[in-house]
Amino acid sequence: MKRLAVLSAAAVVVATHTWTHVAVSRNRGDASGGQVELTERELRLPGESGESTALFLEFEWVPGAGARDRLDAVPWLNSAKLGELGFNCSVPATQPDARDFYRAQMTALVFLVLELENQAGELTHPNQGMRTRLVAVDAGRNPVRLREKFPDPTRHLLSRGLVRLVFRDRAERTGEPLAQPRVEGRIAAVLPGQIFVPPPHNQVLAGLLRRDRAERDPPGREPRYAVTVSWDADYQPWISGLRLLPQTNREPTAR
Amino acid sequence: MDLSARRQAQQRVDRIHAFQGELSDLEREHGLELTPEQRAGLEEHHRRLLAELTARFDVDATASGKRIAWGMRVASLLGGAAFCAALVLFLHRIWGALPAFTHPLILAAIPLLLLAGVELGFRRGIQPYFLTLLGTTACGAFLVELNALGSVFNLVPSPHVFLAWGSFSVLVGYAYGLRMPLAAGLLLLCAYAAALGVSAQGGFCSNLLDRPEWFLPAAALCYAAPSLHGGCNRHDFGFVFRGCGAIAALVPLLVLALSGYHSLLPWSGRTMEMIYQLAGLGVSAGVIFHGFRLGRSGLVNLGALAFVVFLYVKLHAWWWAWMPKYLFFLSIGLILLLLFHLFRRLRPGLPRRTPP
Repeated sequence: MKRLAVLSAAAVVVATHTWTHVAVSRNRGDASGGQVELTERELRLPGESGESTALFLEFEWVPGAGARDRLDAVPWLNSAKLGELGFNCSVPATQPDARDFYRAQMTALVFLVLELENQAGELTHPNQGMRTRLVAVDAGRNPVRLREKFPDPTRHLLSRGLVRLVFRDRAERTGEPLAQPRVEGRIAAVLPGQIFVPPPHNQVLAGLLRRDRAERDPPGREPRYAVTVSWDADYQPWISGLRLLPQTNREPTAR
Repeated sequence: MDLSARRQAQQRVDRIHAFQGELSDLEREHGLELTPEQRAGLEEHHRRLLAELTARFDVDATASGKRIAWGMRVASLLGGAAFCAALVLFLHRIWGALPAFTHPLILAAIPLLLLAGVELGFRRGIQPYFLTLLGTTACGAFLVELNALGSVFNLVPSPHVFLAWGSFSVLVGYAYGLRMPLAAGLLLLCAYAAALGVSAQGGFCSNLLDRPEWFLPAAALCYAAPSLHGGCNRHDFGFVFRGCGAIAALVPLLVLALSGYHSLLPWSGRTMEMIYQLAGLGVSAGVIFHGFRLGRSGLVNLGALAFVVFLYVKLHAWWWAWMPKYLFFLSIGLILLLLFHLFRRLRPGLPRRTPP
């Protein structure tokens, strides 16, 4: 009995690893989630990682065209879309028990469509600063249908993400009471929120990381590297290439 | 070495010491006086018994030995934690310099090596405490390394990871008769059931408390397992199953009692809060009385703690809004005193548990 239990415990470790490897290898054979070259605008170096040499880049995205940051409302995440994602928006936000009703709804795991805006613009307008070009434009439960709607895998990426409902009776930034309460959909996260940079690509970025820690970021700086990222058949990203970008030696332009 | 036999040997040694202390008090008070022959015979018997138990099971045969053993345990716990921290930080430091193919190999090797270490320690008959420490470290390492594997491959969290963690911990617990890995494993398996439920509803598996009711079927099964299957009672595991089942039920009930809108059921948040406040009181009272019936003070204490918390929540819901605050706390204090008195009256009825 004891021997069987020990062997089974070892088998759990081996089976978990084998399954993970087989699944990852199989999924990475098919980049149906999309393949694009992102720059430092979309994949940022971490601020601080202590003594660790394991390098992760953080995804930088905005929830809609024109949004300043992730706190901005998502215009396309309207009640029809929220219903499609499985949320029940049938109770008017003005009803007395609406707050509890909407608080009860779970955060949903969905597929997000991230659009890489202005791909050509990167070449023609290099001084747009470090603003990300990765914009969430749609979400759904069925990735195949989303891919049919957004067929270009070099422009539209399919990624996992979390969407939640927010019952709002005060303005997000100012905290002032709203004339009428409302219900908003929010993208809580793109999953995973950061991406592991495997060797040897991490060596390319190690110098930049050291420099970042030694000196402050100049305003209007251009992206310094480009990363080829693929989203596999299970819509999980991985890095397949990384290169440093040539830096123009002109004065940075303030935005 | 059989850990149950070793625990029984240590309990026998403790009983011998207690008996010797009581005998010496009785002799001083002239309650019992042994003849010199009886005393010499008894001392010789105890001496032989202690020597045999020490030789066979490496038990702590003296009070000072036990005190030193506790000191060693604290030192070894800190030492073990320091070694784990050193290993993790060392791997962090060299991770970027290692070739990519070595990452998964290292991650798989660490829990397997620690498992081999537990096996070696078991064969060499090391103290149960150190075995528990090694076993728990192996389970912790598996937990950390699967997380790291997910990060290396940029995987989105899956509910099935709870199954892997839980089954590994339960198997380690069963293989070596270790309660701590078993308890961790059972709680992780309850979390697996909850994660499956949340995922099936379209939620995110890491947000287990989005729908805490998904814990309840697994918690009930865990609590009932020792009554359903005799194998769950080996190595005094029955208490671990029941304790974990009770915790896995009471914590979600508490969450629902505080925020009923997390419930799966279609009624309003306020109604669900009221239902779960009463359910929490009922379940914790049930755990107390079942603990009394089984003679397990651990279950009684767990149930009593939960009962007090649920009582506070219920009374808060009823009285806080309208009652002067001093009166509210005074009422709570009086009710707790009443409960304390009730427990004192029930305590003599607590059946004496036979050692496993």
